[in-house]
Amino acid sequence: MATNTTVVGTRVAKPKATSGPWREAAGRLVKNKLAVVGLVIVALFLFCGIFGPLIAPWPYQVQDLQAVFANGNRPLPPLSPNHILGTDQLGRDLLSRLLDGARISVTVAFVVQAVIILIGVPIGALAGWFGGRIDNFLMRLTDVIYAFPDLLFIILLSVAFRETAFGQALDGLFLVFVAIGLVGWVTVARLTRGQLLSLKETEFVEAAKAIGVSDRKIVTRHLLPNGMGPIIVAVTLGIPVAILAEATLAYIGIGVQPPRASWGSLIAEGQKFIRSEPHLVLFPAIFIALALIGFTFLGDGLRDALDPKLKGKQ
Amino acid sequence: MVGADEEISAADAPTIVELSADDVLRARTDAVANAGLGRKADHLLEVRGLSTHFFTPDGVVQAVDDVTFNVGYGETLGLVGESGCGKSVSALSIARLVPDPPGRIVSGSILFDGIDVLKLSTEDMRKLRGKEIGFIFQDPLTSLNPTLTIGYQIGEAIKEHMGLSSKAAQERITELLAKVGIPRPKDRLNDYPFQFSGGMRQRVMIAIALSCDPKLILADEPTTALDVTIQAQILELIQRLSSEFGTAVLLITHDLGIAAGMCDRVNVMYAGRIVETGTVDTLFENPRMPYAWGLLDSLPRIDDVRGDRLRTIEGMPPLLIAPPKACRFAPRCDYARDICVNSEPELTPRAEPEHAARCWATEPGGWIG
Amino acid sequence: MIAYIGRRFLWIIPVLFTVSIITFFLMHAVPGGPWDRDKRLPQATQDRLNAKYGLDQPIYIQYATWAGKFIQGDLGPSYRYTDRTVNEIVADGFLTTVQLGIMAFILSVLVGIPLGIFAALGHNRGPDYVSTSVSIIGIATPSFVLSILLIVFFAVQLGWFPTGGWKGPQYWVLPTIALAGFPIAVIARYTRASMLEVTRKDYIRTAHSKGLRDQAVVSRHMIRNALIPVVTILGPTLAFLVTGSFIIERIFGIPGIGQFYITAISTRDYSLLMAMTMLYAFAVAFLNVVVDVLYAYIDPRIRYS
Repeated sequence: MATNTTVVGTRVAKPKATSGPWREAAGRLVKNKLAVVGLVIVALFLFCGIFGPLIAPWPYQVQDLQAVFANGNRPLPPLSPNHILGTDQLGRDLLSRLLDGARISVTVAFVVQAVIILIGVPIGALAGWFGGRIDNFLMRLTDVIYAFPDLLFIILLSVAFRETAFGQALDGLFLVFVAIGLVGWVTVARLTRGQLLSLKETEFVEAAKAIGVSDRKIVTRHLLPNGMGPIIVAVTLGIPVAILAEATLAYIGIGVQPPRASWGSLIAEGQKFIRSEPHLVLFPAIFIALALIGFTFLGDGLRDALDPKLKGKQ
Repeated sequence: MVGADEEISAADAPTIVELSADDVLRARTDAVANAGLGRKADHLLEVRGLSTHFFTPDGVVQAVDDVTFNVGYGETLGLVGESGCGKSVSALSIARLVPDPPGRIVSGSILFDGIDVLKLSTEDMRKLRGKEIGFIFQDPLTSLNPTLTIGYQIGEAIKEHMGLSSKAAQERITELLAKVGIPRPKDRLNDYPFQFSGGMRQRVMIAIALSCDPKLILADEPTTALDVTIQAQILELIQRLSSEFGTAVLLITHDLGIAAGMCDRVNVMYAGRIVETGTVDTLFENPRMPYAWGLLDSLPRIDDVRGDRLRTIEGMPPLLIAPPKACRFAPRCDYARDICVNSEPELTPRAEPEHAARCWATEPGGWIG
Repeated sequence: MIAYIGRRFLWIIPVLFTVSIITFFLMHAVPGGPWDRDKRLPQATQDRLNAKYGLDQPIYIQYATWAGKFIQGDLGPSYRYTDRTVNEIVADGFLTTVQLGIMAFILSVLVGIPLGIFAALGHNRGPDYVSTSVSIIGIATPSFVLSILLIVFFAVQLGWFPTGGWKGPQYWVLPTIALAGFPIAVIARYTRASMLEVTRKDYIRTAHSKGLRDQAVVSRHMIRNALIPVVTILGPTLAFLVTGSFIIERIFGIPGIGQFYITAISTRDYSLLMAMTMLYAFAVAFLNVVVDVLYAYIDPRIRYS
């Protein structure tokens, strides 16, 4: 039956040209207002973290003792000359120290997630792909890690290896990051395993096997890219957890050592001045809050954008 | 506990009774009279100019556009069409179950036994639903609450609308289960939906729909999600029960075969409009609209030659956002002419009684005799 | 079902066993020993003490000895507080810590779940904004910051509550709130998301088609089904409360067992350290199993399969 193509004027619906799933997801993401807010905050955060030392008005450890003496031996309040957010009791510029803290937090975010991905994804993939005994063994392993009281284990690791060369790297921070990662990979491993389990049974895997594609290729070229979505979301939402852990540890004195300034240690230092100079606690707390909110919104937005159930919906 | 793939044994299976058309009509009239339902109007359901639109970020989708039809007391009316033509939305509109946002009934009236349903308060409408109007949904797996027993789910409407004592309600539920052909109903009252097979679950849905003796049942593709072998059983069940109780049925389906077997009259819908309506015999013997021809023609026939391509209607239905003022089927129609593109035909009567079609070509004086 | 429960609980034993091994060896990997005090003890004294406590044995034997005693309930002597056994030290603080954890848990659930439900029911309207704002504050504020703010405002400024200690009910309020802040936010968010998902389900449409009252649809059909996935995050919530309590105890000066942890590490008080790690690990593992069992029970699809 030939279609009457001279009939023009009525809109015939063409099937929508399918853009790639990533592009669709990106489209959904930018429509989500909260996610965009999160994205902006995260971008700012990364900017501060990476370019912090360049834009900071002072090096973070420099003590402007003159100004403190001039202020009656008290920390300077915000909007003082030369110190836009004030100083601590040793005259160190708060903004600069906050930027150093941003640096630390950015490093936490990436190093921890890198550790988590490097451990979690392969283990999850192995467990999901091979199933059976290997799966069982690896899942029992995750049970053990899961049972470990996180904070305690991190403290134990950090203190145990503090004196070693490993422990000295990055002013002792590297150890902390690795420790946080070591207790945190379980979720990503379980997710990867779950994704692999469900994708393993799909028909396109059968087809690939039938053609004779090797197992490794199937996993790396087909399964992982398709199953990436929830893992990306988990990693993004895991960043606030890592930042929080680092801040809490810094607060009780583990990890960052003076004169470096993690937001958590800034709060610990500023605590005693909270009634007279609350800005010393308030600003670090605000920075922490913004970082946590930013990644959480972004993670939520990514989760909604990548949700396969929403694909094709108006 | 029964396994999920349970099949009914021959002894428990409902019998397929061949009823003649006269028998059916007589049974219905009797049932209606005996049920003491006063006929307050000419038809049980009178839908006039119903328009339901969906307000989406991409525009206003006119899913149902100025639809008018009747369902007589005890009659089975079929609403036939492809996906997206507005048949499900029409049924949801009748029960005022259209999700708002983004949907809304923007105009028209729906007279149910003489009462304009669209003018009722939400509370009064709620009392009507479940009691006078029953709904059978397409997918019984997702349409039943997985965490409540089926006995409970069947009894909810009964307890809400009929004010029976617990004992009486329990008896009624058991009776209903037996009526829909669930073996050993007493034992299965406390089972959960996942413990039933697909066909069984749909029977439970039918029991829910019938639980308060409604005057009208809206059946939205009741067998689409089921195996073909079970489909016949379910359809026969619906037909038998509706005759027995004198219940009118609005049957929505995309399957012409089902419509032919179950319905008294059929409305064919396309792109939110009714494009043809008539009795089953008229429609299948003498359709007067190219879309209907296409539908009937596309059914595979037993005398088709193997290896020949299946016949289809080329093209896709139009977008329902800002539909043009023209025949909506024209782009896909082999017989379309300029008039079809410039103005939309009305639903006008054809030769047989109760037969109407929306097509310039087949009107008296049109270019198709 | 019983077999399932039994198996899950039994599994705790090998898990704890592995945890104990890892902790024990890690602990001994830390350079230094329990006798490193400010004053350096003469080597001879150290040797004698080591021999007395069996610290000169090969590490495997030390572990075996510890494990043997542990199974019998003897947690060993404290190396730091040489006049007391670990059993005594732990007994004092354990109940306090447990009490704090339970109170925070109850608060989290009693506030978090209704918050999430009301947010979902009032989707994109007033209740949703309030609930979402509370959730945002909860996840953005670390527990130590929340503690500081609570202390400064309610204890110091307003004087309604004491700033620390554990001598009566009024001492319980601020620490419980501080500990529950984050879980409330997480539970509320999760409940809201779960409720919103349930709202879109087909069986809700069926419930409406039966002409049920809105309230019945919400309580019988929506809430029930929405809460099932929420149970799955109760496990991690409990784990968070168990480990997070230790920070709160430090800040508020609460005499639970958390206060001993860091000092135990720095003073290399092996027995105390092992005991505490095992207690925490047991709590986390046990509570996780309880949550899993609860989940299997309330979802009839799992219960009957």
